[in-house]
Order: sequence, then structure tokens, then C-alpha cells
Amino acid sequence: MSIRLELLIAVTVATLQTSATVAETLPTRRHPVAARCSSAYVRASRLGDQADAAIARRDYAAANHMLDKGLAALGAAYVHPRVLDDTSLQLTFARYHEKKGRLSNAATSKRTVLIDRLALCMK
Amino acid sequence: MTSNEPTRLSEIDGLHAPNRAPRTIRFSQANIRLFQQLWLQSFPGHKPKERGGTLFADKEGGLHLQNIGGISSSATEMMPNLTSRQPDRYRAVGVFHTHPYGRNDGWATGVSFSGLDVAYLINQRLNIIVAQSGPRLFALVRTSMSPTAINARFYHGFKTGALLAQIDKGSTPQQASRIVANAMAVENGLAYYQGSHQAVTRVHPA
Repeated sequence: MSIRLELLIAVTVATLQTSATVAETLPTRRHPVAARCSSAYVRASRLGDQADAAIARRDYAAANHMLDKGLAALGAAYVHPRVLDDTSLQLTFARYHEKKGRLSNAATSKRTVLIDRLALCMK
Repeated sequence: MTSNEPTRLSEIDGLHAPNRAPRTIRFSQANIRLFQQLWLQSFPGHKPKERGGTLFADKEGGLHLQNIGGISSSATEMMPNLTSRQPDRYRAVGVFHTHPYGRNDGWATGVSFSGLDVAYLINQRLNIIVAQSGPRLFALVRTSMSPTAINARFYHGFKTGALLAQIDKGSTPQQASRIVANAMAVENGLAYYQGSHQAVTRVHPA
């Protein structure tokens, strides 16, 4: 397959999967939670849901608190050896936003990290 | 060989130490075009999504970006596919991926490597890892002074702490990532490069 065709296929597939949502992190029979995450997954996922509720009512301080707890609950259990994982770089943006008082942006960055880390628990 | 020729595997393979790594790494026009296309495609629906592929060496040592898209990716991670469809012709020697940030993070560019990028390079025994963040290119090259394996979970926690400490000291995320990437190169016997467009220049060892 030519590189151009390969690129076209990759872009088409990616376009169909543009937005990560909480639903994408839910385990299914086909993608069960990996054993390395199992004890932490439910707690971290629940805290993510609570953070979503706080974001919905614009309580960003509470959302950041829930997300910090969710990320701490999951810890490094989710780390996958075959993944180029840049979630830590996204967390530097969260910390930077927090320092600047941009709690909404901080919560969004942390939520992205929690969603992606929970998704890695199914790989 | 002219100085404008793309770097070949022989120049970055089997290096005894980081100071034996080439001063400049140049990529082929085909690879540069793919790097730039993948960067432009890192914002589907205006949301960030990492893109990348695997750098395979042919028998003459030419580097080719293939397996575009890898196995999967998201806003903050990518799982490359290191398996060649033509193993008699190509072998995986590196990975390329983008570091995109969206509206929430001011469309930031110039973000270098994470701790788990470094762990991947070492644990997968690759020669090179390349990242594109906007116009900036970053690269790390493994040498014989690099460890043969890293405890990824431990290293992840250790380096996340280092990144956040840099933010607390007043760095921007971009500055923090470059400071920590340089430190990781020093700790792990890697050569570290920064640049843009067609080439990257060695910054560690200077």
C-alpha cells in the first residue's frame, strides 16, 4: 500500500473518531478493563463523573478537586508499555492554568488526561 | 556525501556515547512532507489528536515513515505499530508523533518529550524518537550509554513531578518540557535535538 493511500485511510478513520467522550472510556465486553487498572478504575471513573457534574454547574474549583482525586486514584496503574503517553505534558498545562487562576481551563486539561488514561486501561 | 543529504541509520546506530551523535539530523523530503501533513491533521474538528508513524530503515539505511496512524491515538497519546509489512526489507528503528494542543491550551506549540516518550524509546530499543509541535521538531537518539530498560511507571511519576516543579518555578509548559527533556537526555545517555523544518541540531551534549 502506498504511503499516500495509507495516510488517506488513517485520516478517514481518525475523522470518524474525532471527539473523545466519557462514553468511550466505559468498559465493554470487547474492551474490558485491564487487570493492572481494575481496582482503581471504578473509583477514578466515578470521580470523573462527579467532576463532569461540577463542570456542568460551573463549579470549577470542585471539578479540579475531583479530577485531582481521580488522577491520584488511578495513579500509574494505567501506564501501557506500548504507548507514547504524553498525558503528563497535558498536566503541566493544567498546573499552569491553575497558577494563572484559569480554573475552567485547568479542569478541561485534567479531564482530557483522565479520559485518556481511563481509555488506556482498556488496551 | 553532501551536508544536505538526509541522515542515515548508520549515523545514529551503535553510538558509543551522546557526543558521538551527529551535530545535525536531517530528514528526507518525503519524511518532512509526512511530518508536516501529520501536524496539520492533528486537529480534527478543531480538537487535538496525536498523529504519527514508525520510522523504518531500509537495507541501505534510508529512513522511511510508515504505518501512519499507528494502532490508535487520542489527544494525549499514541500507540505506534512497530511491525513492518515487509520485514525482509524494513526494520523499525524509531517513531514520530505530534504534540498538539487545542483552544483550551492556547493552541500551544514547541512542547518537547514526556517521561514516557523516553521510556518508550529505551524499552522498545529504538534508535530515535521524533516529535513535532507546531513548527518545532524535537529528537532523542539512544546510545550505548543508555540503559537497556526503564521502569516506566516509576519514571513516569518521577518526571511528571519534575515537569510540575518547573511550572511552580515559573516556567511555561513549553519551557518546562524542554528543560525536563534535556535533563532526561543527560540522565539516560541520550543525544537531544531541537530544530524546525528539515533538520534538528544537537543541544545535548552541546
